[in-house]
Amino acid sequence: MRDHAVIAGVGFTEATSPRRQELSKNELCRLAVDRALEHAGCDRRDIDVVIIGDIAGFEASSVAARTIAPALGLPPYTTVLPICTGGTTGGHLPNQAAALIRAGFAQRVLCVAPNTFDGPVDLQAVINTNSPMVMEQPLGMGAVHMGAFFPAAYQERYGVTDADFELLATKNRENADHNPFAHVTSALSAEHAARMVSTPLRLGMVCPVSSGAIALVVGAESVVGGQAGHPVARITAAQSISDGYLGGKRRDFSTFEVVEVMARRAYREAQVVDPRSEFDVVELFNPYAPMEFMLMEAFGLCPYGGAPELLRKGVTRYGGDLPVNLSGGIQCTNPGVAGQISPVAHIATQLMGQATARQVEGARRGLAHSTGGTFFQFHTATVLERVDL
Amino acid sequence: MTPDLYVVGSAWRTVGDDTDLQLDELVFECCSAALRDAGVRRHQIGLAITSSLDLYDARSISNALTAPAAAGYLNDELRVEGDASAALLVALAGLAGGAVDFAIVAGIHVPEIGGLAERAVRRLDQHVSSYTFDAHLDRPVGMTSSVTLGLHAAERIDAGQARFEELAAATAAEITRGAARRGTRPAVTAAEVAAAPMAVAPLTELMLPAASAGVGAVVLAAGVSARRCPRPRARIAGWGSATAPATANPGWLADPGAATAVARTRAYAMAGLDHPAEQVGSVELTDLSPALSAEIRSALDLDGLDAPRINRSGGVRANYPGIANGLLRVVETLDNLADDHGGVAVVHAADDLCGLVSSTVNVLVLEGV
Repeated sequence: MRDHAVIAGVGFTEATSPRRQELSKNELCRLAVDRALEHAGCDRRDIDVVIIGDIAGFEASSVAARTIAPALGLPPYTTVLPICTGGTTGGHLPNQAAALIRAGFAQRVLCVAPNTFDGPVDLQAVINTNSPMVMEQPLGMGAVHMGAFFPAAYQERYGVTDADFELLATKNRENADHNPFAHVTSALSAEHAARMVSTPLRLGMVCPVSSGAIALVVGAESVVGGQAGHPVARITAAQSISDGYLGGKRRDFSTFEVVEVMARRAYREAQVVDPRSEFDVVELFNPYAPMEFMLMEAFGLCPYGGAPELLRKGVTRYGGDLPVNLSGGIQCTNPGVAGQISPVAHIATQLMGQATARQVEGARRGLAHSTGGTFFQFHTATVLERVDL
Repeated sequence: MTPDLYVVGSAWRTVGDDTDLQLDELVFECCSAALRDAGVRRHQIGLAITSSLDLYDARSISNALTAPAAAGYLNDELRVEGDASAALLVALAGLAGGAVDFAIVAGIHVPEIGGLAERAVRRLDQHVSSYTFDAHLDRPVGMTSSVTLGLHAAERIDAGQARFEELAAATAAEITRGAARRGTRPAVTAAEVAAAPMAVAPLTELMLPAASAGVGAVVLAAGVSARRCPRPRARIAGWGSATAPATANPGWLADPGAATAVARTRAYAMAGLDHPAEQVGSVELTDLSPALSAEIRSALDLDGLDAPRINRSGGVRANYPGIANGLLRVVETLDNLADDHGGVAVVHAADDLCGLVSSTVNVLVLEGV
């Protein structure tokens, strides 16, 4: 039976740093799954398919789904689908769950987004291995260096100041103060936050390496909607896009060009005509704070170069009419695949009226985004809408 | 109502040491050939799914390299870490759900090692398999995919359910049959199979899958878009999927066909197969050892199928391109349907990441058009 796909249950685990994490990857995933199933009012015996993400090249195992799935207590012969697209793996999980449900292949899909970074000693060196071997790996770049290209070009093109970036990062840490699942909050001292990491990125603008897991129950609206006992979040658009492999393919580092292409497709699918006025809440993948400005512009939420002005006017803060990253975003919590799914998870709980962070009253439609790969090659977008059943 | 979905084009390339193409160039070449075969242009593709593993490709997020070459550039794309048949099912969902009209699936198994001889490829695959098993309980006792096959075959011989000589004879027949198609091993005798170096007792090297490197691609389409293609190859009438138990559940050894039976039940119900042995013209199996063949056939409810209709290509002991195997089995099945001038064929594909443990099995029912 084909049906709309809805998120009916969300399970978060508390985030911390990998060296302080006391639970194994399997235990974290089991905890997140238990919470998601309980939230959805669903029994694990009802699950048709479990989709589990990983980034094998960053981890101490290959295809972690093979060892995580048996720890989840699912019935024998439940189909396990391992997905890895790098930095967008987590964003793909609900999107693919929606595809399976819309096709009638499944009625209840469990999405499991594990912690990814609990193994590497030098994560930047590991991330370097996803760069082109001949052209870019020898330059020694890690994620933070790739991440600095974009705000540097953005500053040069639009005259945005370091102070604008710092204001943005501070806004997100203050948002994280209200999110019990966030890792970094405004407890980060100003002295630490100001340390330069890779120009123009300062420590306070750069995501931590976090540990935690998130699970979602995605189901057919007519099947799971009534079970949850609370509003659910319908997935009205699920898109992804790939740019070319080489960083040089980006052409213009002052924008995320391909996001504009993806956004048009997502808005067409979800029948969004004026994104600025039609979204009540937005979560954009921002491992480096300035990306939030650039992504807002690529998603058509404001003119190019206009995002800092919205921040200064309070539009994107809590209480503004377009709150962005009320969870604190990835800048404050980045456990890898779990970080990538977190924008969808936070938007879903906002639309259910059960926000983990501060609730936007009456929120009915939201946008979630994730990105990753070398020089942010991949992006996903998910549009969600509240459904009262 | 069963969705109206088709394979409209395909291409396969077995990769040897003589290639001068890089990984992404191989993927581009194969996907381009599949698109030409389908009569479809790249910009018509709405969804590109790849099947590959970072550890084979020797880089993290290796789909960053291969996705753009697989028609994923500026497209909706996804990488599945499992047998390519699982990627194919994900693509079918995109088509059946109405998200796209055309999709492409690429299966990629070209290990980044010095040479692509069978032993070298198997050595890497087994190494990666070790990393796929549980780090605390399974790796320390040396579990790999081949070890599970050896344990199974030994148990069946010990129980009197299989004989070494019969396994050797069946293997020789398959390898010899495959040598006339896409097989990577030359024709052999049963004596040569029996005398081959012992790999995991009681299985000799030639009884294990013929580890190879290869890239495959199929173009899928829905409804009228498919039927208006120049040469639709097959309608996908049914499919099913299930994942086998992990090591803690002895079912993986006691009944390795159980996941196949679950997947088969779903696929046959969708396709309306109620007397499969009479309705099916051919089947391509992923029976990873000859000791498994009978159990997999039974699980597919194909005990009564004539021998000439089973693994005409020679199956996995003729050519086994690892994670891309599911697509090779589909490509071989398309040839079987063409040889039969239509009819119904079954594809059985299972990943070998942990051998019989936690393996996801996919069953497809194809109808010639």
